[in-house]
Amino acid sequence: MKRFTLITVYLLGVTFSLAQDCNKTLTGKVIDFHDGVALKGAKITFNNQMIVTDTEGNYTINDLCAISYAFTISHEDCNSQVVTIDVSKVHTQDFYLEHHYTDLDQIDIASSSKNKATNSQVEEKLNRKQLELYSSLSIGDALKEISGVNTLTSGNTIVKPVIQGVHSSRIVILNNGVRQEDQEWGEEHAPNIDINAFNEIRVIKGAGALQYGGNAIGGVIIAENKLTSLRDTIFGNAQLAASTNGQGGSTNSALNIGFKNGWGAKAQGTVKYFGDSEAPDYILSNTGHREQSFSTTFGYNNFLYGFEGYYSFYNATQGILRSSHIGNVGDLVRAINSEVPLVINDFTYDINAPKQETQHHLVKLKFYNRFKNLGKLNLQYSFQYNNRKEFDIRRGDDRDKPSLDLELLTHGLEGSFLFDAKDSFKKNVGFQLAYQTNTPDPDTGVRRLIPDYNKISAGVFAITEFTISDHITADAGIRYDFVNVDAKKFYEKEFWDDRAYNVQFADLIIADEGDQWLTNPNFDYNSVSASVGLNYSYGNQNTLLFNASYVNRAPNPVELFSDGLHHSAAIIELGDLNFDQESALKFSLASEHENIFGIGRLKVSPYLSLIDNFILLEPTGVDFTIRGSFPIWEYRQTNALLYGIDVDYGLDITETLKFTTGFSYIYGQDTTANEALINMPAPNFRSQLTYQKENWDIRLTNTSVLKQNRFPNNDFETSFIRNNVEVTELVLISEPPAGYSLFDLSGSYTFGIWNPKDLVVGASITNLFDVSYRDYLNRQRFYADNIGRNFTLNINFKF
Amino acid sequence: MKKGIHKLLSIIFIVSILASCSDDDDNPIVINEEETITTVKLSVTESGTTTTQEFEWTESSQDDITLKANTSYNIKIQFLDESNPNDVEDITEEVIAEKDEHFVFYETTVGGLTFDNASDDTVDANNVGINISTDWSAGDAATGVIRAFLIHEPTSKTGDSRADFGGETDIEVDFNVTVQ
Repeated sequence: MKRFTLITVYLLGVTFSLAQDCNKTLTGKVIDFHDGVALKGAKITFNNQMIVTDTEGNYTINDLCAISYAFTISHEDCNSQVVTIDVSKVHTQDFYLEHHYTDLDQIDIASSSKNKATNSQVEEKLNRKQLELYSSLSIGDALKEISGVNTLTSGNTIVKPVIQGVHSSRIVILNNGVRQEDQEWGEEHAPNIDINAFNEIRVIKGAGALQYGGNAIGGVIIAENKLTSLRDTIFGNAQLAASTNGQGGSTNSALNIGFKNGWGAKAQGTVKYFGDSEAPDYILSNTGHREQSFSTTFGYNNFLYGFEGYYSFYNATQGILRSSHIGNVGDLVRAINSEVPLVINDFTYDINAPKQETQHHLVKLKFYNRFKNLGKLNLQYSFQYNNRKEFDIRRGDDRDKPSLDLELLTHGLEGSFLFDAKDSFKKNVGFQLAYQTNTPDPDTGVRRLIPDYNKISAGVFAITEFTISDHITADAGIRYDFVNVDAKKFYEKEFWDDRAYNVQFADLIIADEGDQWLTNPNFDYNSVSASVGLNYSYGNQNTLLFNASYVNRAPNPVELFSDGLHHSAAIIELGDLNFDQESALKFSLASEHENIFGIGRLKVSPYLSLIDNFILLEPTGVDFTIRGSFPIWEYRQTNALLYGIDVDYGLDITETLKFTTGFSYIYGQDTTANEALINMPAPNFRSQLTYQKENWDIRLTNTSVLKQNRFPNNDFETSFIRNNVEVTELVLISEPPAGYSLFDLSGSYTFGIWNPKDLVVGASITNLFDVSYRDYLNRQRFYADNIGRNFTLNINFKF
Repeated sequence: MKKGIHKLLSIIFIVSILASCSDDDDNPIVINEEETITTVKLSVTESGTTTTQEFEWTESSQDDITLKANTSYNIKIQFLDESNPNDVEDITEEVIAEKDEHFVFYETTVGGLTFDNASDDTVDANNVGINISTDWSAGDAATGVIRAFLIHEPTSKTGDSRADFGGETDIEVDFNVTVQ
């Protein structure tokens, strides 16, 4: 639209100028819209003339005719603006440009690699190119590239990120600005997110990013895909990957449309289809998976205001290793004692029970408005629907019914105001409101593991960032959170009495249903979180970051309400209504050096956290039932100490040959019981040698994981009958598996078919030497090896 | 603008209050698990007689079995769902209907006590008896337990200890036995 105006006005200007007196003058200033600072060196162009502002941002244009002119005002780093002025009526005019557009909104991903979401937290980022390498895998797999990030897996497709030793409800995942609510509490619940929907994923390895939520004890994962606009463009890509392991592949494509006038839209979709994976020595039966996802965004942006609508859909079916579905402790012991899985069938694409079917819809509406010399207001509404179905192996008429069918609806409303007029003293205040309902479908015929509940959460925060000197920026933040959980939960009367709930919580009972009580636990949690930090930069690109944060987390529904047999895992899982909030005090430090002693980049980040009322799940005994004996896993609260260090080193050996390596170590201790914390990632190294020349890109990667020698002893006894004699045997569930070292090799060649660099053809081999190994943080380590060698062919076409 | 936020906030607040209030009356319906097996029943008949003794195993009470030394018996196993006493379900019928996927097995610590398929046992598609009905022979006087297993989707139906069959254990119960 503006373009047409420009042309029209320009033509009119030319025509009229022939006939008019031209002695008018226009004066004024060019000012940075957002902090009110005068811009020197701004250019004002019209009719092939150009005027440049002086050091005070002033300009004077002489010899103008008494007509309308279209002036184009531009400045380095700013978005140009066209303003039409009738010089016969106007003599002075100030122009406002948005000076900080690029660094606030990161229009161009490539040029904003140095940007951080926080001032003093340790952050790492994966860009589009890195993410493309994982297009057929999951977000968790990609995040393992970052030191200090590990994964908690159930087989090879259900992958949960672990940040510096903690996971699940302690990590906030932002899906394009919306806090993902997809029942993240379960250890076998992976994020319902497609990696291909994003072009940047950032990990904040700290607790102090208070603007994203009060309970992110572990950190925040920010997955984003910004709308492209402010230039006329249409581009996209189509990617195809085919793998030998799983004998399947994935395809995804994306289309982006942007207009100079601020409108933009994009759409992206992915389909994945895999059969059974294979360990080096056998087929991992029933580990196929399917995934379909789609996302679309449209919106309008200019430097004053903008809005965005976003919708994303995710649908996945994931097979669970057949041999990991066990009946009781005896079966567990037989599985542990067997070298190979107890069920190995021929390769198939079929996915049978046990399996998971998950679906997630997310809708977001976002609006922002900037205020002159003040800042930016953001408002956002989001709606999420999550459905999780878990299918166990069942008998008779219930064979095809899920054992668990949960529907989680979340409405979110949030707003913030960023006062960024003064670059040296920024403030951000905001609120978040969420209303969530969880509805388990009673048609499963299985008692609800997670009850019906309504949850209201409200949070307000204020954070500030201020420059102390040229080298030091400090930040501080405070946040208040309120959480109310209003549940309707059935308890078996016997269990209710066993747990002494009949004494403590007698008033929660609202109905008598035979051998069960219907109860109405209604709990409030109030908490205050705070964070302070410093960012000190010195010398030749060295940075020192320090942050101290105090954060609370309300217990999640599983921790509060679990009360029974978890069929597929063959464990009895018990929560506790008495749980209080977890309180974490975390100190983190990072020393970053762009070139240390002339021998490469180094980043060293140690951290220490003290967590009071840390909730963990551990075996506490054995229960004898008609199905045999089951280990009882109880959630308990204790005090925990976690400390560790992440180290990253990179060296450009030559212009074409680069070496990077990362190391992470974590120490976790239950300071009350005085024993090691369960499921702490083992010390691990990840090193990569990259050769890049002209169109070639070749990478050799090594991942080495040591054996975790610190673990609590949870072994327990069970009895067997051998040769007519009853014998007692220890069930060895505690000791972590041996360490392992894996090599991956990948290479790609970039072609130019219609445009330069529009086609990338690549191939990769993961687990090059087909090593058989098991991982401590894989919940299926008792039953089978991890996957073996995988050859993948990858074609990515950009247009 | 600020006014707008206030308005929005109050709307959301009201909506959530309304939503939470309206939910209060409709309580979720109770689930009584149906496929549970609550009872394992052994019907023990001495060979050559028609008197049958029944021994039951439930989580609250377990019957002890007494057998005569050097005597043969027929034992039939039954799996019952008695969670609703007015509507007892015989799960054995389901097991027999899905006989290819099920297998009953016994282990014992009683010396000289052995078992084999009975002639009236249920056989699967491969003509393998699944041990619903078994013939036992007791040796000299001894005491110990009989451990009864119901195995779902066994990987094999031949073997002489539980470990040989794979699959998942649906039932694993002990009966105290005295042979006298």
